[in-house]
Amino acid sequence: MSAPAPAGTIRIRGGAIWDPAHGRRGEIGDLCIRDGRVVASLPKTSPVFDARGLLVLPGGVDLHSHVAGPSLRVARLLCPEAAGGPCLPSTEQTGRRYAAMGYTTVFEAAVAPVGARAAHHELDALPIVDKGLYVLAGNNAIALDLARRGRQEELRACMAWLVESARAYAVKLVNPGGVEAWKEGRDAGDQAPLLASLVRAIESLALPHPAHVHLPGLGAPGNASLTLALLDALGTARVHLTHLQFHSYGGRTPAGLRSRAPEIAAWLNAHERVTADVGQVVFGPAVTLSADAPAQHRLHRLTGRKWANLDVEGETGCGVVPHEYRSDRLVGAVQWAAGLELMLLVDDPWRIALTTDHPNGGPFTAYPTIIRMLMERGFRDALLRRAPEGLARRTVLSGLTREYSLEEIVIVTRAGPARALGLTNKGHLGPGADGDVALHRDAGDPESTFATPVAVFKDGILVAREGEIVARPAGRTFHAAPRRDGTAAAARFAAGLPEAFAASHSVPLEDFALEPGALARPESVAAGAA
Amino acid sequence: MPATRVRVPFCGLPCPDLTLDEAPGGAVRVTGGCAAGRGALAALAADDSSAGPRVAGRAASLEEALAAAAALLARARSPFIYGLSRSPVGAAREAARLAQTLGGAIDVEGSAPLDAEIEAMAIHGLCAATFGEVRSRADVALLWRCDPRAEHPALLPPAAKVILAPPRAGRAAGPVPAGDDGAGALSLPESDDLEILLALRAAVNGHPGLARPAGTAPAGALQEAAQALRTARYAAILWDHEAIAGPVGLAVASALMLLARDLNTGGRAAARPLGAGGNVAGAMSALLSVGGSPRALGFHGDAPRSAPESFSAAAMIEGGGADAWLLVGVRDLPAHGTPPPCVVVGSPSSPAADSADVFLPAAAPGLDGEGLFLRADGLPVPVRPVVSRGRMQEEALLAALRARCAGSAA
Repeated sequence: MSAPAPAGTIRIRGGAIWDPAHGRRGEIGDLCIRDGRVVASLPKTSPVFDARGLLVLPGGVDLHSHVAGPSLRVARLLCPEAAGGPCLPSTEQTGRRYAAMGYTTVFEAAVAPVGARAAHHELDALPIVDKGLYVLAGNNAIALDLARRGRQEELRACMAWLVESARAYAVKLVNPGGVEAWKEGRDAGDQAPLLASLVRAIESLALPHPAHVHLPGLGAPGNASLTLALLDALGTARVHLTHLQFHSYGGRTPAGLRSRAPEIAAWLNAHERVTADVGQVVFGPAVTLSADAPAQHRLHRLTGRKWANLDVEGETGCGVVPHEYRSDRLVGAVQWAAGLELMLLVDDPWRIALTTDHPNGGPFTAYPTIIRMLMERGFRDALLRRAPEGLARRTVLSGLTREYSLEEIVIVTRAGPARALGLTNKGHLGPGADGDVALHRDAGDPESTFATPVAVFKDGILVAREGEIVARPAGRTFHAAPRRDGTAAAARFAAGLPEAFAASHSVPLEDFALEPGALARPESVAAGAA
Repeated sequence: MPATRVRVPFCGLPCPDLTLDEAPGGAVRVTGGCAAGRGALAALAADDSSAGPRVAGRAASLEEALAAAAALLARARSPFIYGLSRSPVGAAREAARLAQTLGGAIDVEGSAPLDAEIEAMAIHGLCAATFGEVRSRADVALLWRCDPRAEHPALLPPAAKVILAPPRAGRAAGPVPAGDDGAGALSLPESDDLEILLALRAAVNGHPGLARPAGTAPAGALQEAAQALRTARYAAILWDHEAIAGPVGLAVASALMLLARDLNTGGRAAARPLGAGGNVAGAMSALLSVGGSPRALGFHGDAPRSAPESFSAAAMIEGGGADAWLLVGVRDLPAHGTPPPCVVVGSPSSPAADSADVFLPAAAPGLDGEGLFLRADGLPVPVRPVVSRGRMQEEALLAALRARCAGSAA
């Protein structure tokens, strides 16, 4: 049953407003929110929050995280030792911790279409934050068959059907064709044509967020060559490349791993239609979970850690392996450095978002520490001095002098991800924006500044104060609405669907698509609206 | 009564729809599905749908009953919530949050036999697949002490070569549809479960010298089974909760999971536990997302803690560890001494409903109840009401109860 999200009215008075989308760089002023939306002014009698001496930022936007759905269920069963901790918090704690850190929007980045109903059910229980999910399509038997037969228009209809059925916000392509090949015990071969075909189909839908691409070769030594080859094959397509750090390696073996982030960053700098998120590694325990089941199997074989896998209905895979990124081991240190190199070498902060691919690279609660690494070269250098010998020969991080400005941090954590998502009401503080605001005290070092906001507003309602949750409104769920397609190809796809679906699924087709009322608080974003 | 199609996986497996209609004599008739589903739906349909809320055995308004239930639970030092095996995921989540609010404990009926499986997975991991994957890919299937083919013939592809470790004596395997047990079928020898599995693993991993279990088992059948598994394009290993019962359940579950893992070294294989039926998988999933563990959760300190020895039905009901019960959709109540104060949510025919201090009637999922079930493979199934009986949904009742208990705590 749909219910309107609660909304508040408040004047946030006298803070230093940082709103890169509108060129505001710390100017002192009032921010007015009426009924949950930013407005130009409010009556003088409106409630006031005194923000003098504070930084006023849009609420954080995490465009790639793993917070709900069948893969998380598998991870929780496999790793009870991590339950309740930063990598596998409860659903309730996930929403609370994001909100307490000043983040107000989060996207679950990988959901099998057939699992979308359960994932949304869990997302509905995720408190405070707005959310959405990406539906997996890169190894869907129906889509692969259409792509292989060159039925591009029907493939387009298939992508629209998946988005609509799963009430998804975007389409995620994970190692396209590679997971299906692994299930069948064969080599994936050249994946570039399939990737290009899927990306074209998704691009033609004009969804608010482009194809969200997890490239083949995840975590493999030397994968940067494959990454660059595949990216070149994509031509001028508009895509989002996710957890790019994990695809930026040289070397031939794990022991020989080195960073090729500079080349990847250079490619990104030259292709302005492409956005990315980093997937930064954080030293400490992690839980790796991915639809890239063969990559997870490789990690299991490499590390000897326990492994869970779930092959899902001719749609995708799911692999989970607990992991630890050790600062005293060269492999982990190279991964850590490669992520920072990407962040520091991509010129345009609007096109690279800060993520840890929670909990793959580490927990989202590490964002304040990463922000300090980006803003303070001295902090980085201190960490590098403790790094394993040989890191300097395998990375260029020690030579990078760039320090992010506060404005750039606001971009990579808020404005940029919102723009990449096509969420016009998020990531900025202009009139019409959602009243999602984080107030931070400049505590001297960026980590302390960003760890605990003084106050967080969600839709104009005060939800967190000095790290304590003081209100628990329910957030909305964004989903994209592809245009209705009345073409003959769409009709052919619909006609063939029952048979194709039954061949790979054990659930009835009539139960597959979520009904319009299935989400608690849906917000539809039309195709082409971004 | 017009024939009504009911799609609820009371068995936790992909199962044909049930049909509810009226027999010529006027009795409610259930056809289709499997035996477990027919039995479950017939029981729900026979329920007294006119029963209203009761407090101390007397009719009460909903408001009075909720207030009395909240007061009873809030007074308890060690309240225990139990049942939920046929409750939708949302109701189970509300129940877990209520346990958290009360500082009590919660367990899912029917989940105890899965302990070995849960523990083995947390130790070794589990390479699994959904039922659709098994049906569309498996060319070899090992049925370990279970044989679901009679009731669920569509679980396996017809051409799959079956290796059968027959269900233990006393368990009905049921007739296998003609043609499904084709010429390639293999039967594993009768012997100690663990010994056979260890020998099978050894044979699969190319250690034939180890592949002879003690006792009477001929090594030839094991070698043949191992060869079939090793050369399969996609091997499936199925078992149910009774197959991992007993004192060596953890070792057997571990051996099955490790066998699946081993087979993925050179080929592909997937384990597919068949679960415990109903919505046990969904209720356990709800507990996982609230408290980080699928069963026997206690919310007594800063963080929830899973401890079957303290928070299971065996400890809290049989062992008398609880001083108040909230029973939600309970089907069988464990043996117990003098019951403590008790609230029952569900059917008037539930155990303890007659003697409960507070009884709150709730809609029955599959009949007038709605929500989400998870099958044993974790895939969601929407449950929709097929009749209207004016009863509140379990989730709404539990949410109302939680709101009152939270108010009491404040």
